[in-house]
Amino acid sequence: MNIDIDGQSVFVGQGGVQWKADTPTLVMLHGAGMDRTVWVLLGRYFARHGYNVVLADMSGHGNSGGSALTTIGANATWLWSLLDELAQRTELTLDDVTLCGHSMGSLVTLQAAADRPRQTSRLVMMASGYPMPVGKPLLDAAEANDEAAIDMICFFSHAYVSMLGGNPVAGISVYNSAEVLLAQAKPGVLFTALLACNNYQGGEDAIASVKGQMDIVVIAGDSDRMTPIPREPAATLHARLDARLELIPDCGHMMMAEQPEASLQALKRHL
Amino acid sequence: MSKQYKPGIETLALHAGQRLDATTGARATPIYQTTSFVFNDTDKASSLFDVARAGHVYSRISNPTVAVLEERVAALEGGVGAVCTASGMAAIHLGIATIVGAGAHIVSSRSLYGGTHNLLCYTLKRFGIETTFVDPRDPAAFASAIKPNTRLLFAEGIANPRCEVLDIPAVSAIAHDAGIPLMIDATLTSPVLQKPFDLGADIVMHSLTKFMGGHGVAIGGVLVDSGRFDWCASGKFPELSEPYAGFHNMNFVEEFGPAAYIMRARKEGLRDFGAGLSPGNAFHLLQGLETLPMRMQRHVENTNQLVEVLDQHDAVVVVHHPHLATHPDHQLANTLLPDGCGAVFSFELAGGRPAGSRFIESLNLFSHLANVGDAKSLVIHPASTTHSRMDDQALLDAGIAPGLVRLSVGLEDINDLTSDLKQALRQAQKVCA
Repeated sequence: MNIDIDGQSVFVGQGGVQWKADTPTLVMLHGAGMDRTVWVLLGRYFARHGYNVVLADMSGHGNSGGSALTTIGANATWLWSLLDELAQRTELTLDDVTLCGHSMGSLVTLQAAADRPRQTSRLVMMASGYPMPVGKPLLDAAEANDEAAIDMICFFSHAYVSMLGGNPVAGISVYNSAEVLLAQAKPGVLFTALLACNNYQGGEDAIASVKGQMDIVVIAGDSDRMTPIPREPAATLHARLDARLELIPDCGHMMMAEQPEASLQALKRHL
Repeated sequence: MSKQYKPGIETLALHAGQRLDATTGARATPIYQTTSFVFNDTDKASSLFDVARAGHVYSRISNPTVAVLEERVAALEGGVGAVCTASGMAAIHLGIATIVGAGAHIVSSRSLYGGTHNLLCYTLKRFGIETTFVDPRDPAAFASAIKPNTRLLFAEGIANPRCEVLDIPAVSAIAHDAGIPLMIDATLTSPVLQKPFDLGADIVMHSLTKFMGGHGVAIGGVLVDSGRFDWCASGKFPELSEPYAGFHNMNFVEEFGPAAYIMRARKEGLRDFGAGLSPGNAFHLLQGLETLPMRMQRHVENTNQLVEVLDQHDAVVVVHHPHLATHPDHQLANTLLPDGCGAVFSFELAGGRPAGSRFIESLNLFSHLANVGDAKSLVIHPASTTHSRMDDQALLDAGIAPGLVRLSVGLEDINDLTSDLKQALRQAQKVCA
């Protein structure tokens, strides 16, 4: 469906199932330059297993209009505006909300959970980390809308086995699909989104706000080179959040595509 | 798209799509010779049918052995995904039927494999799909033939058998200006010599039977999706951009984004038309695919030498291969096919059909049969075999003269191939004398 937020059209997928009253809400938010389709299997699964699934294309991304928002905070505000609007106009309720984000989306959901901890039942952060610095070569390439930015992201986002393939979804190349999806992002969107990740400074406060206030799960790939798990145990995101960790083997940053079944099982253990 | 960090084509040909069997450690891709797959529980079963989990249900729709081949070809072509089919013709049909229905129109090159021409000219017409055939050397002719109901442009990258080279960038630009995709039959080039997606094509199909398999032991086809065509922006493809009552009211673009076309091809086309590839044939084709880059290099080397021998021979009127500077597409081929123009080409003998017959019957090393792209060298007379169902005008339009002979050059010792050709040419000259 399309809905207007701040004068801009926002595209929201539902996992192929219409929302029902009195049903928990599961928001699944994609990463920089991507869109809702990264959630296709998980979104369709949970839409058939007790959730109203909200698969929104963030501002400027995918089928949504407008520009990419420049800060994680602005994206979090935008997300609650969207959910408030959807709750007014549809069967969606905000009594029991699980916020699940991937990569940049995980920072947005962290901030959103911190902004409204009482409305957030659970927080799931996939392929995440804080801070989330982005290397200058990648930022420079993204700013120039250079294909090299897509090359770097795809290379560092996939475990080597995923580069060669073996996708359990028959016939689909995970690596090439990520390339094409990123290439479809409108000019400037990837850079703005990456810069927002790089510049996000509200993470410590957000962690303090959500810690102990809700169920929190961190899901990580053991071969993630975009947001690698820090070697110092105390520095890990799950330790700082006092959250449970799900570590997916043979998996990089693009876990929903690289290891869809393991990602599902990790989520199922906590939802 | 830059390929800075991707594995090379030789690595992909050997490894893409396969993860080692965790149970047995089998290095080769196992043949999963099974019709169906056990569901661990009812939740897994319903989720697979709902496309909410990854996995296999029934081998007509997907199979682990076939899936390795599909993903390997997708990797080699640079596509988001692929679907294997029972033959190359099944791949063409699946590629068309996924987005073209009754009342729609196709613009196609007129220089085609005879079976493809038959499908477009006669068979699809029975189902309400009309095709206009145009000169592949004239991109403007594609533009002129487009109608409001046109839904696809189709051509061979290098045409069979006269080796017309399609200006893919020009024709794809015409297609995209009209909001329709360009589908390329890339059988004669393989991704080693040309990657149509890099030149602007949207859909690619192969007869895997030919160079991809290479050994002439298994029939198969594949359809590959670039993922780059914007089906929504076009507004002409409700099959992909609107809910489909035949599959959970699924909107394929909304759910799968760049993979919408290839997912619909599998979920509808393999399900309903049923022309899936068998796992046994997929295994055989995978063995061939492993050596494709090296084989194609040798095919091209042998071909270029034979083309020059034929071009200098008194018994030959004309050789149709872009390697020759006299070929009308020589310059274009240098740009679009810098690593060679393949190993299938034709030439005309002085003396017409009788000379052609004597030539073919005099060959020792070349096998007289209806196939191309084998490791072994092959020969055929198109007008009486592969293109025999085309009428005289269609043959003329496709440039197929009565005395035309088609060769598919294999991997034998070049001296042996040259000797065999020369002795057969001498026999053909005796007919003229």
